[in-house]
Amino acid sequence: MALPPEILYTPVPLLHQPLKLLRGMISDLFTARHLAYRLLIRNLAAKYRPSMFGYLWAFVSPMVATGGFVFLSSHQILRIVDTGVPYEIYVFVGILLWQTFTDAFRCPLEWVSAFRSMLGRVNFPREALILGALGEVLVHLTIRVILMVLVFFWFRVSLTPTILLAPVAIIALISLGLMFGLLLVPVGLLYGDVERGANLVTMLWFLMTPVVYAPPINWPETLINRLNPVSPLLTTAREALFSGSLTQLEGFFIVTSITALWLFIGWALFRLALPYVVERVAT
Amino acid sequence: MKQQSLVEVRSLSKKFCRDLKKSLRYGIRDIGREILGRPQNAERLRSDEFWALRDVSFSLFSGEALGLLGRNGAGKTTLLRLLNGLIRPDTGLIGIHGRVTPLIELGAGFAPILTGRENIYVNGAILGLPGKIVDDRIDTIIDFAEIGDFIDTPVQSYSEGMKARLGFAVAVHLVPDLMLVDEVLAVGDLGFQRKCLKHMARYLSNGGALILVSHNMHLIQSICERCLVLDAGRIVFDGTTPGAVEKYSTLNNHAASGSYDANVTNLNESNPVIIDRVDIHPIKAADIRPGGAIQVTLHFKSLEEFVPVTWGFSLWTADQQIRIATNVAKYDGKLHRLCGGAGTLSCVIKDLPLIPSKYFLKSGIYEVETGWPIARHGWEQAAACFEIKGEETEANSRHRIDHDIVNLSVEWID
Repeated sequence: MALPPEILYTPVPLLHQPLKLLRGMISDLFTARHLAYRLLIRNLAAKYRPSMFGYLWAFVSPMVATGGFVFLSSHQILRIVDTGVPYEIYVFVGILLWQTFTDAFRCPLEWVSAFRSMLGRVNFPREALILGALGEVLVHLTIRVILMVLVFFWFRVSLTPTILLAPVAIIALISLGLMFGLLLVPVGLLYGDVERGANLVTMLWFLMTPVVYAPPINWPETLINRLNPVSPLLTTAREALFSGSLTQLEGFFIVTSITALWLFIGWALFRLALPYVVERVAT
Repeated sequence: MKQQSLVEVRSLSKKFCRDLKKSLRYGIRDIGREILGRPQNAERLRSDEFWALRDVSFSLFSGEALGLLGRNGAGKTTLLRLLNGLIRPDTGLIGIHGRVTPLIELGAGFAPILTGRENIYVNGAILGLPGKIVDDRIDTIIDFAEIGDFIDTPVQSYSEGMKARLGFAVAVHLVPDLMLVDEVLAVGDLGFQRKCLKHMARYLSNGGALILVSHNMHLIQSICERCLVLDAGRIVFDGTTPGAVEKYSTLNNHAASGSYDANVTNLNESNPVIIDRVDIHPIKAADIRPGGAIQVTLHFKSLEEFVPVTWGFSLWTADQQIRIATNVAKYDGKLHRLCGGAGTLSCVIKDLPLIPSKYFLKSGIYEVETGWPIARHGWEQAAACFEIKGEETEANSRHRIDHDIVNLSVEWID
């Protein structure tokens, strides 16, 4: 008796067998871990080895950005309302969190794009690219956390129990970035416009997010807190780190649950769309 | 009971788009249909689309090596990509009983900045080799690659051949059920190629199956017993390798003649002589046999009289890769005259020392002094072909397996 083949490729949409799709996603996610680890090491080495300062660069950019904003506000060029803690720390933490978000937003497309020619040559579990991108975000986050601990120690920031909640908020922030990033991958691989547009949007988004200023309290500026999904996550993460009172919990929970759902949908879409992209862009 | 096939391909088709902008737009639309779970409009070609593969069906069994022949753009690489699941079929299906390893590119994922040793781990992971196995076999891999002290040098300073060596050294540790090989051996030196061949032979004898794409006829002939010839996305031949090689060379000839024939069919100042046709017949026999004789007749048309001229021919193997012999009349002290209008030139080739197979004959009419061709046949159009038939003897089948051309007349002495 003929056994059914282990591998079957047909033009039937994969959504017609959702359970099979789900099983494939989960088993590939599992097998992709080792490859993701190797690719992460490969990419970090490729990024930092041919440079004199190596990982120091990861420390430099938030410090320079913080320096800039501290200069602007101390000379009253940029008028900032009271933020409750020393402005240096407020901005510094804000920028670290924001950069973590943009890392997560940027990395998926960057990774898939970098491995585009390999996508047309080897059938490796595609999830490795997502996990690898996530790995890079976490490595950079680790460097930032080290920096943050040093700064907290230096400025003798008093810690509150809510700090235990900070990792949860940071994970939510990363998930949100990853979700947007993943949703952009298929179209972003086809059209270069997406990457350029994303850079532009990121800049605008930065201005529309309470990173270097406190969340607004007057209408209509409060729309920034309500309409910008980064806002409640970043604010909650920062408040958890040092203020102790969490003002945007409601928004935080709404955004987080929507993110969790769409992160999964984004992953499934990524998987469904990739073969169509590969046939058109892989060399 | 019929043996279970390893690979089943049924009416497989794939379309691509020539225009980049349209291709990207179609891409978005196709993704849209896919995520809505709606079937694609597979049978219809949209504007600027063409069939890269059309109605391809074949099966492959364990231990079999299948060669893929075809001119550039015939669909060979597309077929490999479909078999590897990198892209999805538009129609038809592919079923594979087992694991597939692609060697479409050796050294996939090599980072130029990393050392050879580090890249072994990356490449191994991409191909699905567990890290533990790479750890255990790292020395074997380095030995096999034979790149010596360069193993701890960044790969960016390797030559293409060295990269291929290292990539292959990793790939030999995979034990897939089906291996897809795409022209990867071309970059290596002879020693490396021999090593690859040996590995493939061992892999096949252990029951593995192989699909090989190459333009190197000798490589194909030494590995594959069966070949598919693809032309413009369709299978135009499925059978033994010698037959496939022959089919492939006629495809190439037709392609070459397509552009040239139009100019050549008319006599004019720049083409004062044209060879219309070349006939080859056995003499005093029904078939052409080893040791027999053939008569070659050139049918030509000439605008004016040419005196004196000479003519000659060259004899080629079935794959048109090896020129076996060349004879020109003037070297045997014979000169010819072309009268205006149609005429013929002929000669008899005696005692053909060739083993049974197909052969091609290309011919030409030349100026005596300069040797410059006045007219040629078999270069710009399909060459004249003849077949030497022989009994199915052990000696003949041995000749065929060894790719012999000539049968020497030997007297064995004690």
